[in-house]
Amino acid sequence: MNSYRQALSKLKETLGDSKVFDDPKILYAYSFDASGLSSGRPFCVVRAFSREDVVATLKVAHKYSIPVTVRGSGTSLTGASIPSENSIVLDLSPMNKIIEVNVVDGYVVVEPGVRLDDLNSELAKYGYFVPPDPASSSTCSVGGCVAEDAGGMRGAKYGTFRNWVLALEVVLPDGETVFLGEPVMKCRQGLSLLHLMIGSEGLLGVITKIYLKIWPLPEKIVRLLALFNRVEDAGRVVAETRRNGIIPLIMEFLDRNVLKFVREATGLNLPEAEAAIIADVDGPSEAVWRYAEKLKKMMERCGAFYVKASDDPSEMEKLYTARRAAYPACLKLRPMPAVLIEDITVPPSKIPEMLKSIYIIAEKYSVPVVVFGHIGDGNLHPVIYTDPRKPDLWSRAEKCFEEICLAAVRLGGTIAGEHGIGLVKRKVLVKELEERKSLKALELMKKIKYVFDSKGIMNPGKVFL
Amino acid sequence: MKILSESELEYLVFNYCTRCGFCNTACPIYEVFSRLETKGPRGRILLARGVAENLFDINSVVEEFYSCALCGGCYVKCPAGLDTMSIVLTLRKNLAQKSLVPRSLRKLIANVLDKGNIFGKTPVKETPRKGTILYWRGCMNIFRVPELSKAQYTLLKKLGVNVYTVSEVCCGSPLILAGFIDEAKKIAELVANILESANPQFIVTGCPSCLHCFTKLYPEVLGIELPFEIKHISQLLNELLSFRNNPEPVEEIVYHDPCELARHCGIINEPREVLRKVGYKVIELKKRGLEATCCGGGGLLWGLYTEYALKAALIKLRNEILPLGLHKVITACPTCLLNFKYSAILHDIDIEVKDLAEAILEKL
Repeated sequence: MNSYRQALSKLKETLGDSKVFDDPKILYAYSFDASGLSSGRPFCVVRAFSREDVVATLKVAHKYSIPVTVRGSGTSLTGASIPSENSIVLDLSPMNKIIEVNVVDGYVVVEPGVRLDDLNSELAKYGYFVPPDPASSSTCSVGGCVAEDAGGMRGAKYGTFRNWVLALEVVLPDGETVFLGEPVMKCRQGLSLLHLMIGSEGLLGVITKIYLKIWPLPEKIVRLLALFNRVEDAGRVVAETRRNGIIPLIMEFLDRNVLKFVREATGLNLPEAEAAIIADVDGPSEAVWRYAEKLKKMMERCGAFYVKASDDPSEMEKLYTARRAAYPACLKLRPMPAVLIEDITVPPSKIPEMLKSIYIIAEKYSVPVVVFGHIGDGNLHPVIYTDPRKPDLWSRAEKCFEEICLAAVRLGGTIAGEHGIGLVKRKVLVKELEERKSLKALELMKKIKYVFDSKGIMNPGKVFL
Repeated sequence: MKILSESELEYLVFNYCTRCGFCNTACPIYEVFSRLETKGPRGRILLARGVAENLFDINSVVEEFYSCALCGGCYVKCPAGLDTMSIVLTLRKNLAQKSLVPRSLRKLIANVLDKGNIFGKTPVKETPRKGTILYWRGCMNIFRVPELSKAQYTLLKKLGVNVYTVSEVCCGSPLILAGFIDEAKKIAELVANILESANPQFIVTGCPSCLHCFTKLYPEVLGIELPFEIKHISQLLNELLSFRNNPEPVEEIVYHDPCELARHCGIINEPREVLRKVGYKVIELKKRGLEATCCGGGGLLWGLYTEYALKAALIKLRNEILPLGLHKVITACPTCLLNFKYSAILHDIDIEVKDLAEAILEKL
């Protein structure tokens, strides 16, 4: 414990009392994130207001071999920002400045604590945006988005954060700072450490400055609502759009129960159906309706009993609200206190099969499961309801979670599209790599982690079992 | 807002909150503290949980629970519809029962109980006036901004409303919001008697706190229903001016939604309508109505932690209001008015802050 006392006194001496906290109630409040998990209690919380604060913290942590868990807004759904016992929580939320918007060179520079919606509000003034839009965009930090490689509804067209990061300033575990990538459209710097850092879940270093590519806002959007009597028919729409060369801006799936929750939670007048798809097509004003009509026909060919396309702002807003409300409504009207949210992604052609599997597995384990997700890129979010106070139910829910993951892997997909691995998916990550006969990949990952962090102080216990 | 039972509180903090953190984005005090987790709603819910788990003593969370503005922004943002304000109110009640309250609150409570107003001023005995509609001024208007009360009274008279006033005592809102529920009940009974003796056709008030207290806190927290119709002045003005056509606007202003008026009582359009009726062009903030950012003065913060309230007002001025390039803010709450005014003066910000009644009078 002596080294902890020394570390604390060194941190307070270097950073000042206003940035270093060891009050038990503050430590407790920093022990959770949106995953519903809590593991150990940190021994202190450091609030970084600058790169220098990060450097000072890591130097102390490195010297005394104390684990560090980096935290942005604490919105991880997989427990990536949950501290381990006696660690330092490094809170980057005070580092929330938008440093530069450079429209001509096509990038924006931000500190990691900037909230994604705040960034996009600023960029909208210039007619630009950073497209990935995780459901937590109002809250989540850009640093967290990069560290988790977050995605969202626009993933089918614009991918995840991986596709938008040009360069990063990173403080390594020993306190040294490196600059990875360059804010240019093409950059070949040998092995891409930049891309290694994206999605690294706080295992390799601390991101202190982010250069993101920016993109012009869509000129015109038409929004479609399609309703289906069979879930699999809705699932077939994605493959149909691919065959016909249409990549919608968003294509979102909601099953019967999610539709019901959304209706009840928002009061929106949505029709009943086994499944619904909400899709956006975007493009130049002259062409966008042509794309929309094409997509409408495809949806009808796949068996939609109702399709409506609209560019009326209030109608569009209503549908967007419905989709945005999906997960909140699943939480608000949840029949049980806890939810396990999946993040599986399969090839678009396998979506009908995947959807079918989810409901069969849910029935097998007798747990309530509802499904929504970004069907356009094959990313589905089955929501499993459970109750930690009932061990049998909890165990069935966990088995259901795992089996759905494996079903995705067997269909050529993955257990994690955009939420990361964190604590929640460590076991299923191993299973996925086993299934692919690629356990060697896990070994390589651990070796890479060692190269960056030989003392193993960065977010220990995450990603790897 | 209500007082939760122990089991309700535990269900909400242990099982219902998913800790998504959406609530934090609406919290003015979380911003004042550069997003320190324990100063935001998610953190407060966790602190309530930690207290329930006996991980730390309730006396260590006094400031956290009394530095909430009870603005309800977090409630609007919560995807699960969690009643965050009731959690804070219940913790305040638990703290109050143990006398674990900020020092400044003791004085404030004593003032209400001894003198009938939060400022401890000797109440002015009103000579009975005749009229049919009772204009209820509220402590803030009577003692802190009497010019506002005068403007509201003059405006109502000018528009032909047969208003009268009575000798008031505090509506009890500060006691309820501080968690002194039993004491609040006594004051509420006193208020009910005053109103009954006054026997008005209906009551109009220019204070959103009194309105919120009479129409929501009395029934929800104290279980008291007043047998009178109570209107905010903007509602009455909207009725009185409804015959007028909107003139060509001659002045652009920003309207700040007071939390107790907009979020708690749902009065959002009426102040805007009356401003338009007299020639103002209302420039809207991005976050408005139910989503409006609190000035930081609510929940007794203006009295208990003035420094935080002023900083929250400064943040709203700098981040939301000043970028619009206008130099006049109109609001409809004496606390918001003073909070913005003082904050602007302290930080040398060139902005005029007016109450709705003052702004309307200027144009009539």
